[in-house]
Amino acid sequence: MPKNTIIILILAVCILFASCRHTILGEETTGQQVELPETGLPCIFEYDTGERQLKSGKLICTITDARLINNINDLENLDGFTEDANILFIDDHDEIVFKYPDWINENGEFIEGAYLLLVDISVTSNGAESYTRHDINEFGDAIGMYDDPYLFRADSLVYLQDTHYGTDGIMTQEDTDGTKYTNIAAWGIDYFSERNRISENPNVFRLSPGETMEFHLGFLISDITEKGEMDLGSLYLTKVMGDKDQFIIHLNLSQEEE
Amino acid sequence: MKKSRRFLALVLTVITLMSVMAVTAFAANNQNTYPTVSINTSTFSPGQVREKTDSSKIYYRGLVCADTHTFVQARGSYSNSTSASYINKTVANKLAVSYVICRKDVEYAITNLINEDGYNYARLYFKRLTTYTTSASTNLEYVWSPDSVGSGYTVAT
Repeated sequence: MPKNTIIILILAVCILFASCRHTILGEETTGQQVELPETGLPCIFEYDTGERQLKSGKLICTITDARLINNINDLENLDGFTEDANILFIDDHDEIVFKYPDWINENGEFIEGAYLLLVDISVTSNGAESYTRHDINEFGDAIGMYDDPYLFRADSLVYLQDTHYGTDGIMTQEDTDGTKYTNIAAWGIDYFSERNRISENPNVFRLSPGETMEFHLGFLISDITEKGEMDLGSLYLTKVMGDKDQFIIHLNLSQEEE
Repeated sequence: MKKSRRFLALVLTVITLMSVMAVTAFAANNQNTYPTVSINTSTFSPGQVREKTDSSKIYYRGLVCADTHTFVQARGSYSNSTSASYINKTVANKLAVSYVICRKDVEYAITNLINEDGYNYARLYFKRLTTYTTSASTNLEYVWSPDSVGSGYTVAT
């Protein structure tokens, strides 16, 4: 087989793999990007040793901006989506789940009613240290997960909660056996701009004392007015799922669509 | 000519192996996430919803909580909607049970029938033991993955 043919074959394979990974990308188009209305930004909250997984110090988190985007090309890092980045719509009582990247059209725009809430966050370490696997509790079990005390988890900083389904976003339901349980309309992150940078876990970031790091967190949203399940007018960022005392900010996103 | 064919065969083999590896990487949802949820003594409170793709046990470890022990349920649903019904599919000692009790800081494998009974999504529910007499809620920070890999974890009962 001629050498040129082999080279062409290898190039073709490379292109095939590249297209498999980025089929969501099409031509360079950018969707609407609307600034948030009044939301009290920037918003500062602390992640400390109170009931958090910190051994000492605190992380001072500042949310500097939060906005809806509906085009994948508005993201800097396209590899930041989690493995659960799915989005749900309801059509005549049938729930339809679009798995990543099926909710992205070929030109990069999201399907009708789908958005990514992109939160810009700046985190400063005020002497913050995580427990490591060398820290042992009273039972002799390791408290931490890693050896490095300066690894922190991006997916436990903030959550998205919808109060459309109840004052706290909480509904009390009863199981067939009479057991009462609650249901919380709350979601974790679907996107982390610094994902996969640390080998220990794709969702952690490293921050030494005194350092500041800026990154983006994203939450997939399906608009209730477009057969989705989230009410843009009643979404909050919260530190804890199901606890209104831990709400950080009311996003008031409904005005963005107008 | 033979050399070229051998080279081509090698290239195709590498491609095949890479394809298999890529598929394997997406087969199980075993990456850890770290939710924080408010729990109380009166009702089971749900945590994060995640896709479950195989019939392995759920990996769970309570990280930060005022309580040392917690009731834990493994529930399944056809939907990832937080307003959907989630059915208890917790198993212990080969029997369907209402819950298992998990100690903080211990890595558990929670047996369940979520995938076996056709559900696509898993969600853990938590309740405080009544021995913790305070009626106020407390926060539970935990790490979990719907599908698990590896061994050596304590099987929850």
